[in-house]
This record gives sequence, C-alpha cells and structure tokens, in this order.
Amino acid sequence: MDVLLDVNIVLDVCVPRPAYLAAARDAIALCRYHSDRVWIYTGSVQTLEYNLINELKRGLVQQGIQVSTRQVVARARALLQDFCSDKHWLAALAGEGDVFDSEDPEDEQLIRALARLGPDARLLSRDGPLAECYPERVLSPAAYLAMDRPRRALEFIDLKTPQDAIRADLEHGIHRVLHHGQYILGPEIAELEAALTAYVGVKHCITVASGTDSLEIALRALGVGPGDEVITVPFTWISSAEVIGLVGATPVFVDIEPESFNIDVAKIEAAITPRTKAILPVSLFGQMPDYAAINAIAVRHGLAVIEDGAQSFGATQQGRRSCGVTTIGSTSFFPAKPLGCYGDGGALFTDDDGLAERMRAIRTHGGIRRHHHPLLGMNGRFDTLQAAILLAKWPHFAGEVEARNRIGARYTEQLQDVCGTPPVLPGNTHVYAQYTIRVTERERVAEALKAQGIPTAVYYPKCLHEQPVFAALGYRWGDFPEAERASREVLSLPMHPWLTKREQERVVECVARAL
Amino acid sequence: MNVQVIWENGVFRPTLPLALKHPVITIQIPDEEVIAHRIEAVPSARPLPPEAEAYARALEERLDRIRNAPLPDDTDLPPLTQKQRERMEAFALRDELRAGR
Repeated sequence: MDVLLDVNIVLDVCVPRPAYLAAARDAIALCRYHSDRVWIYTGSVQTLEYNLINELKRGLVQQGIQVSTRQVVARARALLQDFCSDKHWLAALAGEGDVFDSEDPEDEQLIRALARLGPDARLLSRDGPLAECYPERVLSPAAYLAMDRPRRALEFIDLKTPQDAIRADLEHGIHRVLHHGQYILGPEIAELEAALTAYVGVKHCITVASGTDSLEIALRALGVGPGDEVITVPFTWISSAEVIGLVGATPVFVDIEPESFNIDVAKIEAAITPRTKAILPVSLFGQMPDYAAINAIAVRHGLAVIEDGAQSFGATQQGRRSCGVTTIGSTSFFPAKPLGCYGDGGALFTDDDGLAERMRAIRTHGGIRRHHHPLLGMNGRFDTLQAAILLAKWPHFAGEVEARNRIGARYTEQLQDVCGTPPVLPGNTHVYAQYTIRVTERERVAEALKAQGIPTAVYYPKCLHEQPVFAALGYRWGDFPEAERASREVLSLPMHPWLTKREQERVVECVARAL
Repeated sequence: MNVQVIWENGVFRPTLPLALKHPVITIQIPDEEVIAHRIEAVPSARPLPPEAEAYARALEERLDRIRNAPLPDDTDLPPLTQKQRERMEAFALRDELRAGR
C-alpha cells in the first residue's frame, strides 16, 4: 500500500501537536512495519516549512523563550530534514499545476498526485472536509491503525525497492530525455554502451531492443542461416532456440549437466556435424558453464561461440565477466534480470571489430549510414528512455551483485541439507537471477509455500524438445534425461538483492516444513 | 479586556492583531468549554507490534533531540531574505483565509 502524508500529519509529529502526535507517529511506524511506502509530496515543501516555522515560533514564545525567526527557521528545517529522511518524495508533475479553479488548490494537488500511485493508495490526513469529499481516498491515522492487515506476501523479485533508491536520478534521467527529444539512439545510449563495455572488459557493446533480438542479431552477424546448425540446450527459455529457427538454421540440443543446469560440455563434440556453425550455451540462472572448455572445442572445430548471458550479467569465471569470454556475448535487460530496465532491452558484446560493425548495422535495418542498407537487418535499437533508466541503476549494480552472492550463499548454507541446491562451480561467481532448488514433490511444496505468502516459480516446466514448435526436429522424450528431470523438479524461490535475512529465514523455514 | 481566539491544534490564536507586554499570560476559559484538562494523545486502536513500537519511539527521540537542542546562535545564521519574509506573510495570510473559511 502507498500512503501519502498530508501536511497536517507531518506537522502533528514535527511540532509536535500533543493531541494528535501519538496517532500520527504510530500510523507512520505501522506503515513502515507493513512495508507500506510512505510518500511526501514535493509540492508541499514550502507549506510544511512555513507552517512548521509558524507553529514552532508560537510554541517557543508561549514558553517565554526569546527567539529570532531565523533560529526557528534553522530548527524547522532540521526537523523536516530528519523526518523526511526515510520517506519517499513524490514529484509534482505538470498535471498538478492547473488547480486554481479548485476550492483548495493544495488539496487538489495532493488528490491528483495520489491518483498516480494507484487505486489502493491513501492520503493519511486529519482534514475532515477533505475526507468527506474523498472518503475512499483519505484515511485518518486512527482509521489506519484500526485496519486489519494480512501478513505481507513476499515479492518473488522486488522491482519496487530498488526504484526507491534511485528515484531522483531516475526521474532526472527520464526528464532529460523528454526534453532533449533524441528518443532513438540519443546520447544516453552511447553513455550506457561505454559504461557496459568497460565493465565487461571488451572492445564493443551494442545495445539492442531485447535479449531475443540480441541473439538473432548475433547469429545474423555470424552469417548463420538456412542449412546451418547451432548447438544449444533444451532446458532454457525459448528464445535461445527460437532465434536459431528465425534465421533459418536448425537448433541441435545437447543435454545439461545436473548440478549447474548448464550445457554438459562433455557431450558437445558428439553433436557437432559439418553443418554446425556455432555453439550457443546459456549461462542459466546466473552461472556460466565452463567457457574455457567450450571455447577450446569451438577452436578445434572452427565454430563461433555465443554466450546467452541473459541471466548472468555480473557473474564471473576465472575473474572474467559474463558476456566477455566468447566470440559474442549477449544479455537481456528484461525487468526481472540482474540488470533490468523498465521494458525490453538487451546488449551484445564482442572484441571483434568486424562483427561489432555488422551487429550495429543489423540492429538499424542493416545500415549505419542513413538510407544505405548493405545488410538485411531489423528494427532492433534500444530505447533512449530505457538507457536513461539503466544509467540511473548502474551505480548500484555492483552492490546488487554482491548482495545476490551473499543471499544465494545464505540460501545454500541453510537449505543444502533439506533439498537439492545449486553449487557454485570452482572459479565461478553466481548472480542468482534465479535461486533454483530441486524437489521431487514440486507442486505440493509450491502450494505449501504459497499458503504462507511465499511465491515460487518454475523455470522451466517443459524442455524445448517437448514444445510443439520444435516437434519437426524429431526429438523424443528420453533424449535429454537430465534436462527432462530438471524440468520436473526445479523450483525457484524468491530471490533479489533486497531480500532481508528475516524474509529468507521465513522461506527456508517453510521449505523445510514442506519437505 | 475580552479577546476572541481560535483554538487550533492545541494553540490559541487571537482573531485580531494583539501586542502584549509579556510572553506568558494566564487566560480564563469557561469550564463548559473544556473537554479535558489535559490533552491526551489519541490512543492507538491496538498495541503496535514491537518493531513498529521501536520505530515510533526512535522517531520521536530523534525529533526530540532536535527540538531540545540549544538553538543556534542567531549571529551565526544567514539573515532572512526578503523572499522568506514575503513567504511568511503569504502563509500567515493563507492561515487567516483558511480560518475564516
């Protein structure tokens, strides 16, 4: 629930007003306990400041304290700064300016701003007339305190909390794009590509419209087409194999190894034929397969390697970052990914100048120069607005990767004697895009967790060779026993960098009880 | 003399400008106008969970520390700007308008 504080509530606590302090303070404390987001409207800043100055001064004078107005100003500002420090600022937007025909323009602004937070948001206020006008939107502190609240369900992936930390930068970045107006390949794209290039440690980064487009562009840039074969895994999101079909080539599946869910390197060579053009391993759930071994096989057979690092951005192997260890690295900025934007997006990485140029051309209808198209391309550019969002998130990414490592390790420590847990292979770090356990009675465990307000997900309930779209490939049940077993046993638990120790203990306790 | 005041949020405000010799004076209020001799905080509907209770206490203690700290030396503070004075007047006027609403 989102709770917007009316000016009277802030003043009740900051002045304080003895008659109203307890209810206002306790309601705010309870909001925090329930993880409700408490907002203060930026348009209220001056009203807050000058009303507080006024009331503080009156109080001090009544106590017989001689005080100058500027001393009171200093105290009022200190109080507001402290009070607001753990609240969220709700920006005033253009639609909240034209309120002069309202009976109370300030109240009208608050009500309009509140509407942006969604139908469940409430204005916490003691303003009787305002509550009478908007009984469904205004809640008094006493009413809030009397509400029955169910135990809060955990988030499977928390996309709200990280927004709180970057709100100011996020809004600044979005507004900058709105005002410069370079919505396609604007300056934020180059800025982001430079940051990602340096992070991954390669020569080139090409941002694209999605993690699926990125794989297709990579295959096209390598010249993969009809008659070619590309080796990949049957236990992954459909994109990895879908793009192979989209360029006219044939996916050839190789089973996974059971612990990491990644490609079984020992089985790759047996799948190579004269038509094989590339190997497309997936760094599933946030951990890379053994790329030293995969690259060695590729060199022996003259093949390219495309890392599908949609889930592993930020992971490392022998100190080298995911997306920087193969011919081409590909990642996704889908919102739930370790580095997620607020829509679709992706990026390609390579050290090869020629491939980089081809990939840049393909993402823009096959040409770099305007109205000159030497290649068959696509409309695959990353939006400038999404780049602005990632730039706001970027300074926090390294810390989030550390938190993922810590939280994943804690899950493993607490669950390894309870169920199958994902090991981190030697030389690897893991970003746990998913924390995936193995359980034999998956549906029963998932139901038990759901009953306790703990969401789970199954990635992936079917292997790709079971999908109707790939029926023509002629695979049968039993061809990939490890992938098939994984698809029937895996269960992903809530996992994100803001999962608290207490929440994690709640998950572990429920899993242990269910098993 | 009789003075009309508005009681608002625990504070009496004269409806007309009034200059007094001393900052503290005693006024008489008819008994029938008093609901309670001591203004009690509105009680919570139910006890807060311990974590929320701790946050509430910490918040109040933090703000009390600021309220009870010695006021900064007036001479160390920047002078009020004309804009600030105008805003104060404007907010005082707004309060008057609201009080008369």
